[in-house]
Amino acid sequence: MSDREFSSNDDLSLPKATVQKIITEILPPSSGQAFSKDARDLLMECCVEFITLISSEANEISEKEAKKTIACEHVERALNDLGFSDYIPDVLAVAEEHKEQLKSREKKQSKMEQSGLSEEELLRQQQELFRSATEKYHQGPE
Amino acid sequence: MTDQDNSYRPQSPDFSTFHSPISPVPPSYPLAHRASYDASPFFTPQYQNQPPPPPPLSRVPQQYVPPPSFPDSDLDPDMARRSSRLARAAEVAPMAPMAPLPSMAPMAPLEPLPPMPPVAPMPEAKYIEPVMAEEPPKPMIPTAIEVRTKFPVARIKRIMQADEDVGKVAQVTPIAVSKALELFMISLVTKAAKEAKDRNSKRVTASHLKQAVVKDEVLDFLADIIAKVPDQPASRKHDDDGSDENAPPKRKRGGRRPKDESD
Repeated sequence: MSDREFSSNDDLSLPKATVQKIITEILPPSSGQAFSKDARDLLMECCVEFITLISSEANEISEKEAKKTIACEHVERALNDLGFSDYIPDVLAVAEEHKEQLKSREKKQSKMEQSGLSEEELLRQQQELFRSATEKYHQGPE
Repeated sequence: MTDQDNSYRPQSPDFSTFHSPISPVPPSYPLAHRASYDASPFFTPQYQNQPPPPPPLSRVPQQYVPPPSFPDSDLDPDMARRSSRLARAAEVAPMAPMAPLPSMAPMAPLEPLPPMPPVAPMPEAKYIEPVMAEEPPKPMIPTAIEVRTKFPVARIKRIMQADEDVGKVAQVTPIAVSKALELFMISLVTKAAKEAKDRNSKRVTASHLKQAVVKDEVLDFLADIIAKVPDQPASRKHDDDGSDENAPPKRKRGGRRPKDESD
């Protein structure tokens, strides 16, 4: 436990560079406004606080449902309860996008299984291809 | 006024390149006048910083066309209009049928180019847009800001689980929280920027951020954090830092203020 408290100090804030980058995306140089360093540091603290707030609220909600894992819907309800309901559509859209990505990734992984061939068979086919390629290469220049 | 200036700004280099064909035109020619007006270096420096909005190019070539080697200046705008219609109809090479007119050549690439590249497959629908609505990028209202940089999801998960009460977290959850955080940041930064603007400050300082937080009830949970920020912009001292550095990790429930819960 004590170990955690010591080492976590640095980990428990957001990376400065990332935060700075996002700030510049929100306030581009053309806006004529610069975000001072102390404001950025304060903003980072606020962000961490926001994460803590949302996650503890979502945690309470999930506990009430006797769920052990905090799911997206708990976050959604936490946002709603805490007055950030405007964020919900975008958050859900991102979550949905992620789920889609997971699906397609699974499909890719199972491509080998979908081929219906055993590993040995696939290996044999590969060797076959190598061999034919080598032959072509040797024949080619002449 | 500024709109016009803006719209012409990105065009200035184009005009300079086109100057030579125009030169034979007598200075009394009204449209040639305009062109040189626009190309004048007088306005250029200030506006170069601004992100060039897709300028209403379709209009520019129309003013442009008439000068070179054309006795009948009335014809040309007509041509331009017709050619744009053609472009819509034919999708490609709108100028081909009009080829006999040499003066159209410089205009031909100008007109279809801006809308074409992004909309190559179906120019019909979007081609009209730049003509009718001059400022499609304007709807960049604060809430519509898009942030491309993403937070590291692993870090967010760790921050979430720093709270000992928080147990397992689904895989999507940190991603959802990350998006919420992004929106939260956008709203905070824009609000703070507005505070700064209202005070005629170009620098958004911590106290501007504080003002923004104080104004919004939803942000009450940040009261703890902003309490240490002085109201004056001059906050270079780090007197509090020593004690504060220890504070954040110990805070378990951020939402509560110590005032409310002090025993």
